[in-house]
Amino acid sequence: MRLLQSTDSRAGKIRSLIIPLVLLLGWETLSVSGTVSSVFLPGPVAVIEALLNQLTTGTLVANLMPTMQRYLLGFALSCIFGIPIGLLCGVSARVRGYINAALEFLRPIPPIALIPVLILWLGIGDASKVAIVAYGAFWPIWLNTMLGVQEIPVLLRRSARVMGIHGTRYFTKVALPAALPKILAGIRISAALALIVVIAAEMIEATSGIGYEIVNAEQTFHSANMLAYIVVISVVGYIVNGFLRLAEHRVYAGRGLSDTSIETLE
Amino acid sequence: MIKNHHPGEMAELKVRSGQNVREQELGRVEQDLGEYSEKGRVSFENIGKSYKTVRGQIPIISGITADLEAGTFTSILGPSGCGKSTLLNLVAGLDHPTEGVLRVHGRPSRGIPDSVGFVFQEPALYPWRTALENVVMPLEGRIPKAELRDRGLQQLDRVGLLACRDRRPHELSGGMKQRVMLARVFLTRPAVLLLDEPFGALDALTREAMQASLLDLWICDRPTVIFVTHAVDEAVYLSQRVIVLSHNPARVATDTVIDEDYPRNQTFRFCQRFSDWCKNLHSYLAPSFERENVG
Ligand SMILES: Nc1ncnc2c1ncn2[C@@H]1O[C@H](COP(=O)(O)OP(=O)(O)O)[C@@H](O)[C@H]1O
Ligand SMILES: [Mg+2]
Repeated sequence: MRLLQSTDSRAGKIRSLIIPLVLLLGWETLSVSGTVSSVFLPGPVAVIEALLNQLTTGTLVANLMPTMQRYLLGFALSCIFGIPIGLLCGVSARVRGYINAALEFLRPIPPIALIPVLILWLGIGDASKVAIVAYGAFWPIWLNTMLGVQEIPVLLRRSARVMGIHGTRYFTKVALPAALPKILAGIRISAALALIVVIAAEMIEATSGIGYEIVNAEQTFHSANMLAYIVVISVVGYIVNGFLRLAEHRVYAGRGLSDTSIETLE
Repeated sequence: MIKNHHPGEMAELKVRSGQNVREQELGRVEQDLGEYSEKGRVSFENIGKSYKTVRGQIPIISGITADLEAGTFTSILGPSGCGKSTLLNLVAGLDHPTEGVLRVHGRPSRGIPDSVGFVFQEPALYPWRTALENVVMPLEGRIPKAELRDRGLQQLDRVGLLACRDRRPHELSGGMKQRVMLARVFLTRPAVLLLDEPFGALDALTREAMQASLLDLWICDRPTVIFVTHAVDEAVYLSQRVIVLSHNPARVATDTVIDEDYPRNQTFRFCQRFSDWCKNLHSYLAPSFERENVG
């Protein structure tokens, strides 16, 4: 679990908690003392209360489920498209020639700008949200996979050629495993991006989900609920990132690379 | 076109030729290899190679002519940077000559020729695979798993790394990596074996053990070996024929048959004739070194 913290020692762990604790304490005092109205800024205790309340009434789960569904489905789609296309682009200059220009035209379009377009095409339901998440998360995975393949040392490529490893065998035995660290780094960036996009999409147009509830709470002045849902997003992001880092750590350790290389890939 | 034989079939062919060792030692044996009537033969016909650089076309290799018969062991000796690796790349089909005709298995070579094994100067191991997984890579998916494993272990044993089969490349020393590379190339029993300074990273004792392994393999499978080295004694000890290359561009300085008992006896290293051969070949090398020093 060491990798979830960038500091190793116990003292380091304690040190890393100082600032968050001070902030929480400051926040609570501001709120309890009435310096700031609790409508604008409910204290951490009130937020936790709201969170527990949402949990016990089942509202939290009812909203978390659709969000997670859209998030994970869209994210999975981005991997399903991003990795193979990235591998192809990385291996073949000709494929790059065909595909990259088109992709580079799409890439500058922010996912948020496409939300109305996709709602128009796919309706207000889950399909449009899944599509927008997949679109947003596609780019880092595609780009990192392509770069990962292009960075395969010439020696390993030549060696594969001499061994008669080409075509599909080259993809599975050389390109994919060689690019794996880079692909995982891309996946981790995409995971964070996908979460941002799904929440944004839900805030713009939805009937359920964490993003929808945040807007809802804001409009009904349930500030504690609003902040509680924001805390939920943070926790989801933290857990997903932790899992992906664990996977990266495994891959790095298996190749004798150090954790510091993970840091530099961020 | 070189026909793509099924690997199993190829192994069978090689086993058969292995059984003919006695006959082969007595003279060249007609091998029944069908398509590959000249399998293993490598011939250079006035080969030249130049690279386009910012300073214009730079010739690296020029006018190399040599005919390496199937099943012979030839060393290429030359100062570093003279173009030895480039020459092997041409044979392996990784690069193309700008002049002349290169024949592998008797055919003008285009693309990667069949049944050629190459040990590069630097170890080319796949970091996510263990030593054993690296060794079996060329035949993976082509022969049954159990047989694959057995053959891999056998080759690792041959280079003295059986105990290290589950280690990954980063857990191996430079010399050990080089030996894994040898095991991998031995596995496929290629008809042409290209070795680019394969023992460069080894200590003297391991080097001798590896030389013995290589000669064993040669006796058993009879590949055509092209062995690149810059060590004169190694060339004299290991090979039937030594081609010394000059520098800038590489030309054949001398093409000498080392006319001694072959394969060598260990005692050959210590006899007067051995050092005479070394001295002789060294005289062809020396001027290139001087030229290099002068600039
Ligand atoms: N792709 C290339 N472009 C230009 N010059 C090259 C290229 N590859 C090798 N050379 C040059 O060819 C010469 C021979 O290289 P090499 O075959 O590696 O030498 P050796 O193996 O004998 O030490 C060197 O001077 C090197 O700089
Ligand atoms: Mg070299």
